[in-house]
Amino acid sequence: MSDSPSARRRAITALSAIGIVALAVSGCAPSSEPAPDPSDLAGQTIRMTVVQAGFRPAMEPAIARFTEETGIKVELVGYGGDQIQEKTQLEVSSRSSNIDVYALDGPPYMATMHDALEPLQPYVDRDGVDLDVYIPSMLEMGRYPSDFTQKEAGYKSGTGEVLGLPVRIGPHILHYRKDIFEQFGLEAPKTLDELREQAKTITEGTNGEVYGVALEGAQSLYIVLQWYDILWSFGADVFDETLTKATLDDPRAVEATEYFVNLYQDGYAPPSTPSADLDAAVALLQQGSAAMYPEYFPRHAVLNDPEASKTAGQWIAAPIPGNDGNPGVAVVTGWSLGVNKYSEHKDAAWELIKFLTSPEVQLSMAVENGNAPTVASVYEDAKYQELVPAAAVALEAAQSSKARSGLPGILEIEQTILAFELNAALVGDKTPAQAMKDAQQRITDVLK
Amino acid sequence: MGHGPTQSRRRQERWGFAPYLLPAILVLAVALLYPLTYSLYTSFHEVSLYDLSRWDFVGIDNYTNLLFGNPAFWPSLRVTGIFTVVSVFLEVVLGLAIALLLNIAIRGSKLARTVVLLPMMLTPIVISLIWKMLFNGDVGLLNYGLSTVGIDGPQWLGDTSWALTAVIVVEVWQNTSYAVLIFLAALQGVPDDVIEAAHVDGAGWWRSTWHIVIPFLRPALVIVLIIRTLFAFRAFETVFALTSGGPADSTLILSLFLQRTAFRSFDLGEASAIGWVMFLLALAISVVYLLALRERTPKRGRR
Amino acid sequence: MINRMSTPVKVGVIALLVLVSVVSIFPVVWAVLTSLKTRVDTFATPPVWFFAPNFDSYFSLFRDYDVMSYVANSVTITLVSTALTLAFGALSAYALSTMRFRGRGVFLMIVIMLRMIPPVVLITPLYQLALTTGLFDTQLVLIIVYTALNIPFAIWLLKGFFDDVPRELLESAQVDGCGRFGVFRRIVVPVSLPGFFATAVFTFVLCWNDFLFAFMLTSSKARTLPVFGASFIGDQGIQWGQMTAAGTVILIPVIVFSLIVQRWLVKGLTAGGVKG
Repeated sequence: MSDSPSARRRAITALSAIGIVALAVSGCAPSSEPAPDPSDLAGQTIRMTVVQAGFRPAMEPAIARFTEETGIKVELVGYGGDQIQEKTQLEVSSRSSNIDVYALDGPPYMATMHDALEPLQPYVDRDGVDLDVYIPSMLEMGRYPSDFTQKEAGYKSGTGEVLGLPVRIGPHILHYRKDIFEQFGLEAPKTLDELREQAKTITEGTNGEVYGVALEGAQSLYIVLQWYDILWSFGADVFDETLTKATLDDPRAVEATEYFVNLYQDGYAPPSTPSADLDAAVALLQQGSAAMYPEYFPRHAVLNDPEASKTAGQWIAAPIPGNDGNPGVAVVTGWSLGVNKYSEHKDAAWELIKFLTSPEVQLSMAVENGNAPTVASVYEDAKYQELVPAAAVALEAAQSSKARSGLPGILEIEQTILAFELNAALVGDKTPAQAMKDAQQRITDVLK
Repeated sequence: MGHGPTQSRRRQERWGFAPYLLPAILVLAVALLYPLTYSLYTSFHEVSLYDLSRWDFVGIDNYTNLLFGNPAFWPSLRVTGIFTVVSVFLEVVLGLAIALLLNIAIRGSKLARTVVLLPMMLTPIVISLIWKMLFNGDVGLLNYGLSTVGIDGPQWLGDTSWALTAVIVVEVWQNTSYAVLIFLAALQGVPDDVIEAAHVDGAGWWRSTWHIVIPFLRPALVIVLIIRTLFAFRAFETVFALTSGGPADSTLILSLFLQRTAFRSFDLGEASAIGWVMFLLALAISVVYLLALRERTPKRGRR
Repeated sequence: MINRMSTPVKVGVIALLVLVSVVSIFPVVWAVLTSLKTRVDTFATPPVWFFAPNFDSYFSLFRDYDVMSYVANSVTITLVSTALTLAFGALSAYALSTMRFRGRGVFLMIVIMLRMIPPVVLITPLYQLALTTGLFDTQLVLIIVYTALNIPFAIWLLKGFFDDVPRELLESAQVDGCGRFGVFRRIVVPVSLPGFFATAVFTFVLCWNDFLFAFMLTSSKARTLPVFGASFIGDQGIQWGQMTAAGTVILIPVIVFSLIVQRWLVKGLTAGGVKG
C-alpha cells in the first residue's frame, strides 16, 4: 500500500509527459502553416469511434471512398450505443492518443471532453470550409461553450470554440401511421392534448390491437429524451438558463410528467412500456402494435424499411405537438466529429472530418446510405425529398429544437437521477409530483 | 563434508520454494494486488474521472457518505442479497436434482448430460440479450407461450415485482450447470458397493439416495456454495444486459451501482469505496462458509 | 439399477431428462434461428418457426467487419492465458503441496483472498495501468489479467490434486535422483493430468466469454469476440441478425470444445478437487 501514492504520482507524471510531448508535437498552429501536402498523409492510418449499428453502416461506404481518394486508411472502432460514451470518456480522461477522430453526441460530451479536443477553427480557416452550410443548431452543438453548455453570462450564440463538425443529425419528430390515422379519420396532432385524445381513440377503437403511442419507458436515457419533448413543450426545464440551478420545482414540470406518465397508466401505450428500450419500442412499431412514436428522426428509415418492418411505407412524420398555444419544443441530438488533441495524425483526422461533413458527401450519404444529413441544403435536394418525405419536418424540427444540456454532472443527472425518477413514476412507485420533488433535490445536490 | 556447501545447500533448501511461487506472485501482484491497493488508496480521495490530475484526500468520507448518505446503497445491497441467496439456493437444489437424474443409467442420459452442461459455457452478455428478447412482455416468446395455455404472462422486465425474478431466472439457467458438473463429479466418487449394499438391504432408490448418497456429496456442496455465492455476488453482465438496474432500480445490484458511480457520476473515490465494501463483504461470506465447514468436518470423522 | 426400474418410472425419468435438456438448449436454438431470420420475422407474434434461412447476417459479418481478427484475438488470448494459468498455478500448487516454508499459510490466504475480488473493482485502476505501460489494446494486457484472475482458482484446484499424490511416490522418486523439478515433471504432473484438464476447462470458459475486461482494456486491435457481439446495440435498435450471428460464431468453438472435454471434465473433477 505504501508504494501506491508514489506509483500514482509516477502514473500521473507519465500521463502528463505524454501530454507534453503531444503538445510539443502539435505546437505549430495549422493556420500559420501551409496545408500539408496530401501525399504526406497517404499511408497513415487513423481511428474513429462510431456506433456499430445505424451510424457505422451510414458512414462506411463514404469512408471507403475517402481512403481511395486520399490514401489515408481509416479504422472504425465500433461500440454499442450504450457503451460509446463511457469508453470515449475513459480515453479522453487519460489523454490517450489511441483514437484520432471522436464521434461526439452533442453538449453532454462537450461538457466533459472539451479539454481533449483540438480547436478546429484554424483548420476551417486554412481550408476555407464554409460553416454556414450547416443547420445552425447542429453546428452550435459542436462548440464549447455553446448555447447548450454552461457558459459565462452574456455568451453570444455561435462564438464558442468549434470543437466538432456535425455529421449526423437527430431531432425528435412524431412518427405516425398513415393507415391508422386514415382509418379513424384523424390528422396529425397539433397539441399534446390532441395527441392524448387520438391515442385514446386508437387504443379503444382497435381494442388494444394497436396502442396509441409507443414510449421507451425503460430506465435509461431514452425515457428522459422523450420526456424532454413534453417537459419543454409545457414550458418547463430541468435547469435555469445558466445551467447552475435545478428548476423542476416548477408546477409545469409536474404537469408535464403527469401527462407523460398518464399516457402509459391510462393504457394508451403498450403494457411493456416500463421495460421498453429503443429496440423493444422499434420492434413493436415494426410489428404494428402502436400508431405514434415521438422519437429520433433517423429511426424513420428503420420503420419504413420493408426488410425490417411489417408496417413499412405507412410511416409519415409531423412535428412534436405543442401545448397551450405554443409550438412543441423537441429535443435534438446528433453526432459531431472532433479531432483528439493528443492524436498523432491530426491533419489526416481533419481531412476525414472535412470529407464526411462536406455538403457533397452529406448528400450522397443521405441518399445512398440513409444518413440523416446536417447540411441544410441537402434537405432541399429533390432526390432526398422524394426518398425521405419526412425530411422537411426533420429540418424544421432541427431548426427549432433544443439540445440536451452540457454540464459536467449531466450523465449522472440524466441517466442515474432522471431515468430512475421517471421510470419509478411510470411503474407507479412514486407520484409524478414526488418524482419531480426528489429529482429536484438530487439534481441540486449534484450541481453543488 | 565441508562447512560451506552444506550451508549453501540448506539455504537452497530453505528458499527452494521461491522459484516455484515467483511467476504466480508476479502476475498476481501486477494484475490484482496493485489495482486492489490502488483502489483502496483511491477510496480515501475525492477524484473525478474527467479530471484525473486532482486528488483531494478526504479520509473516510467516501465510506461514510456511502453508508449513511447515499440513498441507493442499502436498497442495492438488499437487491444483491436477494439475488445472491435465491440464485445460489435454486442452483444448488436444481443442480443436485439434475445431477442425480443424470446419474441414472438410462439410454440418452449421456446426451442429456452434454446438453445440460452447455449453458455455463455460453457468453453471458450475448445469451442475456437473447433472454431479454424472450422476456419481452408484448412480443416475447415466453409470454406468447404462456398465452397459448391461457396464462396472461407478466411484464417480466418492466414490473418491479417481477424484474428481479426474471434476472434470477437467467442467472440460475446459466449457472445451474456449474453445480450439476460438480455434483456429477462427486457422484462418481460414491463407491458402487455402498449403493449395492443399500440395495441388498432392500433400500429403495429414494432412501439409498437420501441416506447414503447425499451425505457423500457434502464436500461438493460446500464447494458449490462458496463458488456460486461469490460469483453471484459479483455478477454483472447478466443484469447489465437484461435491465441495467431497472425498473426503478429494482435490479440494481452492487456491481452495477459501482459501474454507474464510476462512469456516470465519474466519482472514482466513491466507486472505489463501493468496491472495497464489496470486497470485504465477499471476504466475510467466505469466512462464514469456511467456519461452517470446519465445524462440520470433524464430527463426520472424514479428513 | 436400470433393471430395477418399472416402466412408469422409466418414462418419468426420460420425460424429466427431455425437459431439462430442452430448457437448457432452447435459448441457444433461438439465437441460431434468429441469426437466420430477417428482422420482420425476428419479433413476429406468433413466432415464425419455419422460414427460408437467410444467411445475410453471416455474410455481412464476414464482409463488413474484421471478424477473423477478433477470432484470432480471442483464440490467442484464451489459449495463452490458459497455458500460463496452468503452468504458473501448477508450480505454485506444487510448492504449496510438497514444501514446508514460512509464510506458506499467509500466501495461501492471500491467494484465496484475491479470488474474492469482484472484477468490477479492478477496472479503472487496470485501465490506467494499461495506458501508462502502453499495454492498452494489446493481447498481452488481457493475457496478463486473465492469467491473474484464474491463477488463484488453478492453485486451489491443483493443490487438491497434488495433495492426493502418495508421498511415498515422491520420496522414492527423490531417492532415485530426481531433483525437485524432476519430481514435479515426471511424477506429479502425469499423475494429476485430470486435474489439469478440469482447470483448463474452467479457465478457457472464463477467458473466452469475458466481456468486462475485454471491453474496458481494448479498443480495436485486441478486441475479442464477446465485445464484438455486444457492439450491435446501436442508435437504431439492436441488429439482432448480426448480433446472434456473432453469438453463434462465439458459441461454436465452445460447444465443440465442451463436447470433446465433457467426459474428461467430470473425471478430472472426480479425481481431485471436488473432494475439497
